[in-house]
Amino acid sequence: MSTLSEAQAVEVAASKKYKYGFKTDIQYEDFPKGLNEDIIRKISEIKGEPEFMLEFRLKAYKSWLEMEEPEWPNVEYEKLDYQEIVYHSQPKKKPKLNSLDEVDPEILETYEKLGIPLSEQKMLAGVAVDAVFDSVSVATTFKEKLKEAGVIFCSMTEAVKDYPELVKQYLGSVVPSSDNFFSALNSAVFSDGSFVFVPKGVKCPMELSTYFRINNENSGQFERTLIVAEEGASVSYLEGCTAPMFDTNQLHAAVVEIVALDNSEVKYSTVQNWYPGDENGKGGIYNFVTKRGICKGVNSKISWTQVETGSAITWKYPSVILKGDNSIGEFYSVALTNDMQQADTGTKMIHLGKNTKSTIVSKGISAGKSQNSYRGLVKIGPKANGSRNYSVCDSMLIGSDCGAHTFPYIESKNNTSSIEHEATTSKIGEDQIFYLQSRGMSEEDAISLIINGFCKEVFKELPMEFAVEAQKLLAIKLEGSVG
Amino acid sequence: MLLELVDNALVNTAANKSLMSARQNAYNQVQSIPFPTSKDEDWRQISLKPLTSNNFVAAKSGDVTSIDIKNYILKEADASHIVIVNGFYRDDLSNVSGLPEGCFVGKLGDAPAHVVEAFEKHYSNVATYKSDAFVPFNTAMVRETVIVYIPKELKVEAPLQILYATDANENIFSNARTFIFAERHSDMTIVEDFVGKEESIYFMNAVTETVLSDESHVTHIKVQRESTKATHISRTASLLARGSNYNAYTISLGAALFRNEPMALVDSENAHATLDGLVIVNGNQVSDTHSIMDHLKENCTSHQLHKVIASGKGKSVFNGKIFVRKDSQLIDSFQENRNLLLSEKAEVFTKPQLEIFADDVKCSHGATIGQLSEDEMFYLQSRGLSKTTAQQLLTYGFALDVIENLPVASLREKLSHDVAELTTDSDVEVTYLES
Repeated sequence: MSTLSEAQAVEVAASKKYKYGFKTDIQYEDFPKGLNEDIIRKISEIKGEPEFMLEFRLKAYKSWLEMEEPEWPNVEYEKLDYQEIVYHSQPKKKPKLNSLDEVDPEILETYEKLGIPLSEQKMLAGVAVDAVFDSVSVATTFKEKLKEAGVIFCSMTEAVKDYPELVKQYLGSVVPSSDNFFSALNSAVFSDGSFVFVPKGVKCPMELSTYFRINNENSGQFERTLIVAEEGASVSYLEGCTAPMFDTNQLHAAVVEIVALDNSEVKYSTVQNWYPGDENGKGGIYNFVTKRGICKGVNSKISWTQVETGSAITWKYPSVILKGDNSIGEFYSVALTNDMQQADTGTKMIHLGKNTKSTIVSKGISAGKSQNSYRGLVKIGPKANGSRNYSVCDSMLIGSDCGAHTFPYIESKNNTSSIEHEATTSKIGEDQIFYLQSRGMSEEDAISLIINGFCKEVFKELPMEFAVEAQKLLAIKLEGSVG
Repeated sequence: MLLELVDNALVNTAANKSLMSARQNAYNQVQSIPFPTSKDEDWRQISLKPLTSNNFVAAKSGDVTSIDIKNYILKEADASHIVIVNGFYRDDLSNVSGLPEGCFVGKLGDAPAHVVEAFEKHYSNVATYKSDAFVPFNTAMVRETVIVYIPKELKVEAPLQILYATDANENIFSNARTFIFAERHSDMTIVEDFVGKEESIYFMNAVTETVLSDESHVTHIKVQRESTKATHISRTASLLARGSNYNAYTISLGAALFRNEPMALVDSENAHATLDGLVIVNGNQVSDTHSIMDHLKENCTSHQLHKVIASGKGKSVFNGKIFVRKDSQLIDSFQENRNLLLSEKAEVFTKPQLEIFADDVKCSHGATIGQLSEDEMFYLQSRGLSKTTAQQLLTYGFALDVIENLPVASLREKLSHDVAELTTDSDVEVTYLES
């Protein structure tokens, strides 16, 4: 029974089109292709950056030149020509905006198609949206309200201008510009991104959110996000992205840095649904992201939650360096791959402080001809007495042409700490599907229910509105796939 | 320096014609494969410095001067053991009179035609699964290959013991090579035992190939109790045919640097492979196990339990790969790696690894690194045991999990004594979590 329906299902899945595959027609300023020192100087100049930023970029560029693109991830793709990429793009109209009414109506329409009408956001969930359209932020809401609380939430460009001291202090402190090939590239050419600063003792009054869109063919997008939570502060940050359909691969090499000081808490959630390419693997986004947080202070906590459903290639390891005593790191992930998608994602938990704790919950779902890898590192240093790690990585396979892989690196140099790791790989339960169908559910609903149950541990970590969106997303992504 | 030695070996052993082409190929490989460094993913955590910093020379003779061979022979293998000293086959010390007719254990030169045929068909094909510097080195250099042939429909009751001893006054290197061929429906237990003169420095490069025909059962126990200053690098590869059953146990107690690569290529349906291991590291010992369980066909099962006790400044590395190839459906594969980290300076690196390309499978692995349980310690202490005794008892019990599965009674007994001795070493400060 299920063999037949599975075959049908895969067929249906294969014909599934990218729901958000449209391109907004907006004029772009011309910027030459390629990368050299002059380009970097020009980017810095356009953005009116202070000298230290230019130095930061040039230093990163120099180390990038000496680096090689990493070969170790379990993904195969056509290498990019880094001189064919336009390293800066922004919407041409760039007036100073006071209200949403002044925003380019076409951009607003794009958001509406994505189901996030900005104009209604204010009244709705109480979410402040720093909408990034390509490289430059075009609208920021709730700024005033956040200002009252003392929270700084603005674009990176603004932050460099308005809070150069903070940027200088923290930028590159978690992910040094020479950390890896893609972070070096990002550090050299990053266009914009979000900056969040929550001062001492402040609990951010609302969830912060940035919606990303990649537009403009051939323009790599290099986001740079920096979140700093001072002593006793707490903040929850949401990132979500969709991208329109293109034929040529687009590079996205973002860097996210989080700094958590004493007793602070940062929660970072992502739903990623960029264009994965068509059923033959043509097109699609290359998502090479460096995300890292440092629990610098005692009792601090950083929590990463991600739902990765898009991109042709995903290369992403949100990590936590647990430096402060009693600090906590968490990683909750759902990675779904379909068709020709390839994902190599996981986390790193580096225990340096005493009594540090980390939890890793990773759920991988592979369908179609996709390859899905979990790659993680848990490292307990000699001074991290009494530390604990618990990891669980479950993979589910749907269809016989996909692959699921687990590469956990576990290292301990401490005899008072303990690490537990378990991983399973299995097929979606035929008996479960049968049971649900015998209760009158359609196969599609049954599978959706099972998948949601499989991912429940991760979804419950997401902020409510995101959890709903994520569940919907998985259902859409797997529509027909086995159900 | 090593390459010159290979050159010499080629000249020295040219008399054995059927090995020549394998040797020649291997020799070419040795020249083309770079020596592994810590930059290679598979050699990342260990240093091969003991190999390059010591001037090893080829062993000149198989004379026994300081170790008591008899002492090592298992009671059950009284009439079914062979002895190789420094790579030299010692007929005079071996006794295979207890083996049933049809069984062949010995040198290639003495083997009957049908054994040579099986040998030529598979020799060096199983172990060369993944390119590596040490296997071709062994193939090119080995003085004597020990061949074990079990005829069809035969169950050999007595275990066969192959004792590889190293006994010399200078820093020698030697190669051990074992080729096991089990015919259809045969059943045998083989113990490969590696021993050496205490405190001596040497390099042992061992390769074992096991070929299992349909429905055959082979239990393969490798005991590594080399000198604690020796380097032992080995690959134990097996190829499984339909319905066969391969149970391998590696017990690693000795050597300063031990690198072991157990491999099971499950190349037909309904086969089962077990790759269990026990590693005890103490002092400055380093033990590195890189295993491969490769499921190439449908309907197979596999099991792997790898236990590690690390104390002193010991270091243990484990990388257990489980592959399930495309269309190899209905695979049930289980792997468990448990590490007991007992001292401040000991280190454990583990990387269980699943690579699955088929959907209808059940594969899982678990890895833990931890200490003795506080509850168990408390229980034993409340029953009047001293803290030290309680620690030793629990550590011993932890190790016993692997040993108690061994089908040779005297070996079980011997090893449990050895383990008890190692775990009760008074120098080892066993620690556990304080509340």
